[in-house]
Parts: sequence; C-alpha cells; structure tokens
Amino acid sequence: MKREPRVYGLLAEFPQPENLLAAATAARAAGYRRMDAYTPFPVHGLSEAIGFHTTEQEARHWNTFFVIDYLKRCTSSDSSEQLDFT
Amino acid sequence: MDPNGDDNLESPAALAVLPPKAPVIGPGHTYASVTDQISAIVLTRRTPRGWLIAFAVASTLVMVLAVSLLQLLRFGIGVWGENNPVGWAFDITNFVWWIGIGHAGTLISAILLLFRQEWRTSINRFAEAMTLFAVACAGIFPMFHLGRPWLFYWLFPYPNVMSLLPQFRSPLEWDVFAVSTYATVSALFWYVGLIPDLATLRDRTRSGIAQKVYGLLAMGWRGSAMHWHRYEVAYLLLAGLATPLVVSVHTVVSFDFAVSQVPGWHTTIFPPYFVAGAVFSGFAMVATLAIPIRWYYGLEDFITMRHLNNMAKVMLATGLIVIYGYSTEWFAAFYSGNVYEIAVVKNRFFGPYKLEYWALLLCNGLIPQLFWFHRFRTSIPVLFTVSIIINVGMWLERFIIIVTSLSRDYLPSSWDMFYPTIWDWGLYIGSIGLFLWLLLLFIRFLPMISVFEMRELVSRQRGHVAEGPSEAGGRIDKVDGLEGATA
Repeated sequence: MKREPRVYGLLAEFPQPENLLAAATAARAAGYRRMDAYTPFPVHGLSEAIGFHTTEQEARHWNTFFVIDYLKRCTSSDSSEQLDFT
Repeated sequence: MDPNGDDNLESPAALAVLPPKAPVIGPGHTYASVTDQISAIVLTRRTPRGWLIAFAVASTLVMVLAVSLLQLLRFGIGVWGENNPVGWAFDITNFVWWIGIGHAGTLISAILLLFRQEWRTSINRFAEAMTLFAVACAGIFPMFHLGRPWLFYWLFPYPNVMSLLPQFRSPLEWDVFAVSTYATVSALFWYVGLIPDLATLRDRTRSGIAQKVYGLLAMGWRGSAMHWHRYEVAYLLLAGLATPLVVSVHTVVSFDFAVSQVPGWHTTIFPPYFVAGAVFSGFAMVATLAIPIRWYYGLEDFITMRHLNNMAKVMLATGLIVIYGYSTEWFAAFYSGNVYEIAVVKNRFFGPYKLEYWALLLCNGLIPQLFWFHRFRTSIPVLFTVSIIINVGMWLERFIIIVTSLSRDYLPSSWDMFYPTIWDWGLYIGSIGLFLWLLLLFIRFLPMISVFEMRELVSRQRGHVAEGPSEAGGRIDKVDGLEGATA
C-alpha cells in the first residue's frame, strides 16, 4: 500500500532576486518561520524578509563584537551564564 | 562637458542633453557568464605561456632580492651607499614609495565603498591585493635597515625581562603601529571580501585538493541570507576601520620627516601632501597593472574604459594636490626668510641633484596634465605610459625629499653626496620582483575580480534596462521526508 509521503520541506528556485524577495515576504506573512534563502550575491532586504534580522540579535552582534558579552559572562552570578572550559 | 557623462549635473535639462553613463560592465552578461569568465581564469584554463614567462622573470628578480638581503645580512648596512650625513636613502625612499602605492587599494575598497561608487567593484579585489603586497615590500626596508633585523620585535612594547620599552616619542615608533595596523586591516578586508568567491571556486573546481583548500578558506560559506547579512555588517565595519587608515598611515610616514628639524623636512604641509602623493602613485600603479592584465586575460568587459577614465581623473586631481604641495614648499621657504629653507629650495633646483628634481617636476607636474583631455584619458597607450611615468616621478619625489635634505644640512663641512651601490639597486629591483611574483600567484590562484559583486552589478544593470524575465514564479519542488524516500 502506497501512502502519501510526509512533507519535510519545500524548495523553490527563482530566476531573479525580486521574485525571491516577494516569495520570502509572502511565506513569512503566511506564517512560515523556519526558512532560509540562498543567493549568489547579497539581496537587500532578504534577511529581514525571512525574519533573520531582529533587534535582539543585532544587539548580540554588537556585544560580541566588542567582547562585552564575554565580560558579562565572566562576571555573571548566574552559573549557567558562565563559561565552562573544563 | 565630459562626453562620457560622468559629471553629475542635477538640472533635468542637462540630464536630457547628457548621454547615458558609460556602463561599468560590458553588455550581454548574465550571472553565469560573469562567474564562468572570472573563475575560468583560475580553474579551467591552462596556465598561459605569458603568465609562465612573467613568473620566471619575477622569480629571477626575487632571487636578486634574496641575494641582496643575504649580502646585507652578511656585511651590514655598509654595503649600501649611505654615509654620515645621508643615513637614510634608498631604503626609506622605497619604503615610502611602496606604502604610498598601497594606498590606492584601501581608497578604492574602503572609501569608494562608503561613497557607493559602483565602478570600484571590478578593480577593488585586485587593488586590495596590490595593497597587501606593497605593504609586504615596504616592510622589508625599515626592518632590514635596523641593522639587526632579527630583533625587530624590540619595536613592539612587549613585556620583557630587560624592562625596556620602545621610544614612544619617535615617529619611527609610530610607523611601527601605523604600518602594522594597516597591514592587519588590509589583510582582513581582503580575506573577508574573498570568502564568497572562495566558496564559488570550491563548488566549481574539479580537483580534490583545490576543493579542500578553497573549502577550508571559504569557512563553510553557503550563500544563505543569514551569511550575507553578517558578511555585509562585517565588510562595512572593516571599511569603516580602513577608511581613517587611508589618511593616517601616510600622515604618520610623513611625520618621520616633518617631526625632525632638517631643513626641507620640517614643514606642516607634509601630511596632506604625502597622502595625496600616495593616492596619486597608487592609482598610477593600479593603472599600470590593470591595463596589461585586462588585455592579456580579455577582461575588457569588466575593467571598462569608464574605469580607466575615472582612474585618470583621480590621478589628475591628486596630481594637482601634489603640485600644490611643491608650490607651498617653495613659497613657505622664501616667505619664512629662513636661510636654510631657502638654501634647500635653491639646492633642489640648481644643486647636484637638479637632474632628478627637474625630472620629478616633469613626471609628476607636467606630464599628468595630459589627463585634462578626454582623448588622452581614454587612450590605452597614453594611460599606460603616463602611469609608469608617474610611478617613476613619485619614486624620485621621495628620493629628492630624503637625499637632498640630508646631503646638505646646516653645516657645510659635513655635506656629502649619496651614490647608490649595486646592492641598493638590487634590493629595490628585487622588491619590485617580489611584488610582481606575489601578484602573479594571486592572479593564478584566486579570482582577481570579485565574482559575486559582478553578479550584483549584472542584477542592478538588469534593473536599469528593465527587461527582467516575465515569469514571476519559479519552480517549486516537494522535498520528501526520509520515510517517503524509501517508500
């Protein structure tokens, strides 16, 4: 007996960046969250369209960049935050 | 009015009169064709005969460098022509010359990126590589001039049992920081820019070992939107870091002279005049290298006449600043009424090095004025010749500044002439060999034009022409789950 296979994911290929951008925006509007988009060159607005670029993540970038995150972890009283090298 | 239409005239009437901007990429290119053409130089084409010949010549010159350095290490600085008043000559001349050449790369890649100058994309990779190799060549000279180059790390303020720190009041110590920062940022900038293209090479190569090497260097690049997002943040930050370096590095180099009290050196015009001279000579070097390479590899579609025209304009503008620097020196000398400063200017015009000085004025002052004319800016032979002349002129400029001032300072009894020895020339020509050698290896093993930025240009140009394909959708495939695949 042949059963319909469970859908694991969807792949789509687009010829031009505008199409991809439109599709990514539409997919996010339709409620999809676990998405990624692969392009051969940077497409502006694509990371926002798939919902990657958030302020919280952005803040973490900057913290990491200035090593503040590291210092925060070192001085944190919360043991789960501390770096464990053992 | 410029017939090529690079002037940005705002009034609509003027815009209607102007022909459209010359393209920065040849017509008819697609995403695939730019990728193919640029990566084929590295991957599929056989090593061309011309490359092999050039590489043989460059390798010979590298051997000249090695012999000159060994001679220097064996017998000391005495193998050079330096003497008591002229303690700096070819070594510092070459150092300043090479550092200056590097500046165009940083200007093209960082400042033109921040100004969103589209035409930079096809020459930036190559100019950044040039920066890196020029800094490497520049580094040789001060390091070997130390006398005991194996102790170069004493220049860094590292904790040591001798409780020694370097002399922070010396501009030569500032050079250590300026140049090492410059080298680090340039290398990072170049490498980060290469990552997406290294991934392209990894995916296209058929050789197992190349796949491993490019794959390792590409650091798992997959071209995801997340990657591009982070890439762009990193690239912009590095451009921001590199931008002040364009101004600061040569400023610090000029302090080597301006901070001292030697007549002819002790002037405030030096920092801006050195920076302008650096960009001037750097663009001349980019043109000198770009013209034969685009011809040999058939890259006329990517490095277009518009690029060469723009480079000529930058050379003209910075050349005029350099002339302004010379005139300020003359004016300041006579206006100050200082006998020593006046003597230096007279000595340069009519002294024992007058031939070099007049040659320098001809090379840097007169000949680049040809670039006022569109006909000469777009003529390949003229551009190539003038760019080489500018390189020679800028080398002479540094030689004149350094040697004429030192050979005749305050006390006539201590005056002496400088004559270069064969080892001075060997080291100089050898460093040019090293530069070409590194550049040839770069051309053979890495994409010399940024592939993904060219794809981006194709995309943008498609937008200008507005002839995108009509189908809005795309192919949608279902990816079956694992259990589905076996069913």
